[in-house]
Amino acid sequence: MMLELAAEERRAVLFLVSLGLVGMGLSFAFKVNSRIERYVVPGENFAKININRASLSDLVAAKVASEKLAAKIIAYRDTHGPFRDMEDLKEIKGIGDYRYERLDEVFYAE
Amino acid sequence: MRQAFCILTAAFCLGIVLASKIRMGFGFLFVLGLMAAVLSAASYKRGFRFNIFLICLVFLLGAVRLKVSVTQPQGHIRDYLNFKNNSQLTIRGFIVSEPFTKMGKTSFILRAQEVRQNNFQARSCGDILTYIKSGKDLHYGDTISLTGNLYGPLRSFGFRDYLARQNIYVVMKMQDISLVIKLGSNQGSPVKKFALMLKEKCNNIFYRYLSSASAGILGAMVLGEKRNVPPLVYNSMVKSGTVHILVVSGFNVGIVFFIVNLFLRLLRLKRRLRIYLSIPLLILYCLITGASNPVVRATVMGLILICVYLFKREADIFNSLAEAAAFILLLNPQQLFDVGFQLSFASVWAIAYIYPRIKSRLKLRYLQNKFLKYILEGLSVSVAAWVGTAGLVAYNFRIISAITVFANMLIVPLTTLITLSGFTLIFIGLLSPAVASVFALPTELLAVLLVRLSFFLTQIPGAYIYLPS
Repeated sequence: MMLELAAEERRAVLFLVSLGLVGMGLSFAFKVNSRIERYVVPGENFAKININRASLSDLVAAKVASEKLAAKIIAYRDTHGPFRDMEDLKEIKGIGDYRYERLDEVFYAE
Repeated sequence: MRQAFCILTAAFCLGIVLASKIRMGFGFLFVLGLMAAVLSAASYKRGFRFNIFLICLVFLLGAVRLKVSVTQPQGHIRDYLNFKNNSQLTIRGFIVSEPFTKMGKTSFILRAQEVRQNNFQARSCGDILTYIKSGKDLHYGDTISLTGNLYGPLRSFGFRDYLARQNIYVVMKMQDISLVIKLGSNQGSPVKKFALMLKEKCNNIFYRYLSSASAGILGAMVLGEKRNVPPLVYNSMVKSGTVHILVVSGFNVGIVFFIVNLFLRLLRLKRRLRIYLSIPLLILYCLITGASNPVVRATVMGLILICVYLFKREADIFNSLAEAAAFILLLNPQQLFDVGFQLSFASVWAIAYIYPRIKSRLKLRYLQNKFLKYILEGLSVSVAAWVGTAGLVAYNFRIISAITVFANMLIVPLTTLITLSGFTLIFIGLLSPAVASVFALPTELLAVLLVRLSFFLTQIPGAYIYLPS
C-alpha cells in the first residue's frame, strides 16, 4: 500500500490522470491535424507594392509617377520615415487627389 | 494520502526523462497509457495492483506530455527557417514578454500570428526571440509587424537548448528600426499587463532613491528582475555560492503573505476572509516577478498550505513540494532539464529532508545557549542546502565553492534585512515619496555591505575552485 490512498482519493486521482491523458491525446491530434492555410492571397494589397520598400525604379516602372515625383516620394520617405498610411503621400508637393488615386491603385503602405 | 504525490511526481518525471531519451512514437505511448488506465480501473479494489498500474499510468502520462510539448503544429514559425536565404519575411504578432533594453538593444518574445513573404501570407504560430535597436516604445501585449530574416539560435553556452526548453526555436535581429511597425496594443492578458505596470512602478522607486548598482540588486531580490544586476556583483556571488539570493524565493512569497495579512488585519477583516483575499495577491506577486520557477514553486506551495489550513488537513512539505513540481511540469515538461528548476527543488528538498536530521544529530533542541543555538541552526540549514545542490552546481557550472556554507551564514541574514527594507521602501515610496528617501539610506547601506562582503569572501585563498570542463 505504498501510495496509501483512500477509496475516494483513488477514484479522484484515477479520474484526473485519465482525463489528463485523454486531454493530451486530443491536444496532440489537434496539433498534428491542424490545417493552417499555408498561403492565403491577401485581398486588398494583392499584387500591390509596399511603398515603404519600393525603390526609385519600382516607382517609375509602375508608370503612375514621373521620375521627378518618384524622387520626391523617396526623399520624403528618407526624411520623415516610412509611410504609415497612403494618405501621407498627399503631404508631398505635386500629389493631388488624382495622382494619389493612381498611386493607391499600385502601392500600399505597411 | 501521505506523500503519495512524491511517488506519483517522481513517476511523472521518469516518464519525461524516458520520452526524451528513447525514440518512441506518441501513439504507442498513448495506447500504453490507455491500457494502464483501464487496468487501474479494473483493479480498483486491489490496493497493491491498483498502485502499480496507477504509477505506470502517471509514468506514461509524463512521457506523453513531453511528446505533446515538443510537437509543433503545421505552419509553426520554425518551418520558415528553411526560407532564410529567400526574400525577407514580414511577421505580424504580439509581444508576450516584457521588453528589456540594455546597451542600445531591446529584446522581447514575439508570438507570431501571420507571416508574409512577397505577395503571399499565411497564418502562423510559435514564439520568436526578437532583438531590435532600442528607440521604439514597446510594451507587453503590443501588436507589431517586423520585416527581416529568421535565424536559428546560436549553440554556444547551451543557448539553443535553453531557448528550446521555453519552446523558442527562432531568433530575429532587426537592425533597421523603421521596419518595426506598431499596429496596436490590445492583446495579452490584462492581469499580466497590470502586474507588469506595478513592477515598473516598483522598479522606478528603487532607481529613484538608490544607486543603479543597489537598485539592480534590490530589483533582483524583490521583483525578480536580475538582468540589471552588475555582472561583477553577479560573478562574485556565483564564486561565493550565494547567487541564490538574487532570485525571488519562497521567503519573498512569505513576506508578501505577511504584509498583506498585516494590512488586512488593520482593516479588521476576519481571518478566513484575509486568507481568501491574500490568494489573488500572491498570484499577482508571482506574475510581477515574472513567474520564474522558484516563485511558482513557492506560490503553489503557499497556496497548498493555505488550502490545507482552510480544509483543516495535515500539511506535508514533501507532498506540497511534489505538487508544485507536478504543476510546473504539466505546464512545461521541458523545465525538468532546466538547471534553475533542479536547483530550486533540490535545495528545498535538502532543507526539508537533511536539516531535521542534522538538527537531531547535533541535539540542538537541548542546547541552552540561545545565540549558539541560532548560529548552529543557520549553519545546519546552509550545510543541508549545500549538500543538496553541490553536485548540480559542480556539474552545470564547473565550480566548487568551498566557502559557500560560511558565506551563506553571513549573507543570508543580511539578505533578509535587504529584502525587508526593499519591500518597506516600495510601500513607503508608493504612499509618501518625500519620506522614502529616509528609508532609502539604510537600504543603500545594506546593499553596499552585501556587495563588499561578497567581494571580500571571494578574495579568500581557496574560496572557490574551477573544475576542468
